[in-house]
Amino acid sequence: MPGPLVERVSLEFEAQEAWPKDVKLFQPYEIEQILLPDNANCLAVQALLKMCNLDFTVEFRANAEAMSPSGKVPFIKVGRFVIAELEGIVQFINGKGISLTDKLDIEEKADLRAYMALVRNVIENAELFICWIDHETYNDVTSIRNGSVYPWPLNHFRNREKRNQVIKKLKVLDWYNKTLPEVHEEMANCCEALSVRLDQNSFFFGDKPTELDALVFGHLFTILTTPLPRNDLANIVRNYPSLINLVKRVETKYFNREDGKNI
Amino acid sequence: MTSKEKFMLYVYDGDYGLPSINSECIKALLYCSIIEVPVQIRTLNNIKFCTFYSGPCFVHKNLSFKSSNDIVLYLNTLNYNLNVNLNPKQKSECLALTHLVQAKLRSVLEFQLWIDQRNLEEFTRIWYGRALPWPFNSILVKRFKENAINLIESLYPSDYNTEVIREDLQTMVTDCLSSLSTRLGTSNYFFGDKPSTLDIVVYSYVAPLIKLPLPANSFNGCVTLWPNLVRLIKRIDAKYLPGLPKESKYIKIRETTNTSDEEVSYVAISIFTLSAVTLVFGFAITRGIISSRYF
Repeated sequence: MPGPLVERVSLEFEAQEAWPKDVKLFQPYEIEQILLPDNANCLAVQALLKMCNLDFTVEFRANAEAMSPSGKVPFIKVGRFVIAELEGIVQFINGKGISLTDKLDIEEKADLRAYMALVRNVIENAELFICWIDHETYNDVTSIRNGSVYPWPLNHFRNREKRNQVIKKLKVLDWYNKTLPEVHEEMANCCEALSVRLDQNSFFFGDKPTELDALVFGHLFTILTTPLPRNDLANIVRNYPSLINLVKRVETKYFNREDGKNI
Repeated sequence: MTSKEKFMLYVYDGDYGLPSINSECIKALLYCSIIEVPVQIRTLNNIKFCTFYSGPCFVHKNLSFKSSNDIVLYLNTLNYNLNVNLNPKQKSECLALTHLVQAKLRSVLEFQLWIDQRNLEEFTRIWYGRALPWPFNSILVKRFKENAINLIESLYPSDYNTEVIREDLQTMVTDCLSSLSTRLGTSNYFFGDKPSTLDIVVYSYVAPLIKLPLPANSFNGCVTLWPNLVRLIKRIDAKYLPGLPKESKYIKIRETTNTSDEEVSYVAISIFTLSAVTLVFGFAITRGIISSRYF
């Protein structure tokens, strides 16, 4: 029997091997279950993998969230490895020698990290706020979709459990007590900062996409195309044509869809 | 100006060369100090203040603001704006980097102070216990701790092992500090020769990591790897927060308790010696090894 060291070495060898054929990306059901913030993150990972030219198939699971090692969707299964969330996946692919950012200098990498944190901190929290705290959206969309995969009365318990989790998170991040106009203002500030950073370039760092482009695409595309009772976030994003163009560019180039017909 | 029109700022006490122990309070204090707002600073160290306010709390006329963010926004409406000279690109970078610091360093600091068991029992709890009046010391410690636990739980929903979380935080803080250090380079402040809100945010999270004498400070060494960040903290200290005492107000009490601890141990030693001797003699006498005509 091989010792733990041999096991570890073989694992590392396997990690360095080329991209296998049967990579699977797990996420909740797109049509009836998934919520805006989760959908944004799943789409961001899909965009990232497509930007890196890596093959994968999407698997829909009702309990994807519970299957994920970090408790958040999406996650990918590569051979013996299960890796969750965009940051983890980026690190994993870098380990395989595939990187979208190897041409950036240190200052640009610092910028990349900062803007990723901005998107995560502002856009994601704004999405969570709209989905779970805003009563109209919660009652009309979130509670129905989130509970759709559970039978009555379990759906109500699961909804309440998840909502409490989100409220706890937003409370510690000082988002829970914000009013709707304050959320809009944060969102507008963030979009402004992103569009200033994008300037006239085709992508955030020159003419090659990076994980930041994938993340921004995931969030903005989902915000723009998801029908909600309240479409104020989408209206805010529409004030920034350069960001819309970025979303369209990524969509046509990597998802082979018709030129932004939904946006 | 009547007393109602004055600006008042209520903060938790500082120590070890920090203007306040709480990062939010540091932000508010430093902002007021840099932009020279004529503000009266009150320390939350008596029951009356603690009943009515929680730090930081900025009071002007009938308005009160309870987070550093709201305070800055309100001061901006009164034309106290620190970022007014930044161009749009710098403003955008400032916002992004602020969120980076907020997302990464805040959780590290909270972890250090409130989750790490040794730091919590040997430093944080004792410090708050002495700096705040009873019963607020225990109430607030409980509240802060709960807050920190919620923060870490929302970041790591499925990890319960503090060691795993600590390792992850370690890589996170290294990444974040190296980004900041690269961005700062050799300039005096992040955006030229004048401090911006970003410098304040960085100070409020990095300075406590450097200055607090935590018993298990695994992140302290991280910061000193980037001398330009340490210099930034010293620069801000010298220019905007002069005259803060380096030595602790509360550690003196701790030293006296330490000496009294040793006295107690001398007493214990003598009691033990006495009882041991009595036991030996008692044993010897009952067995008849020593005999005397008195018993």
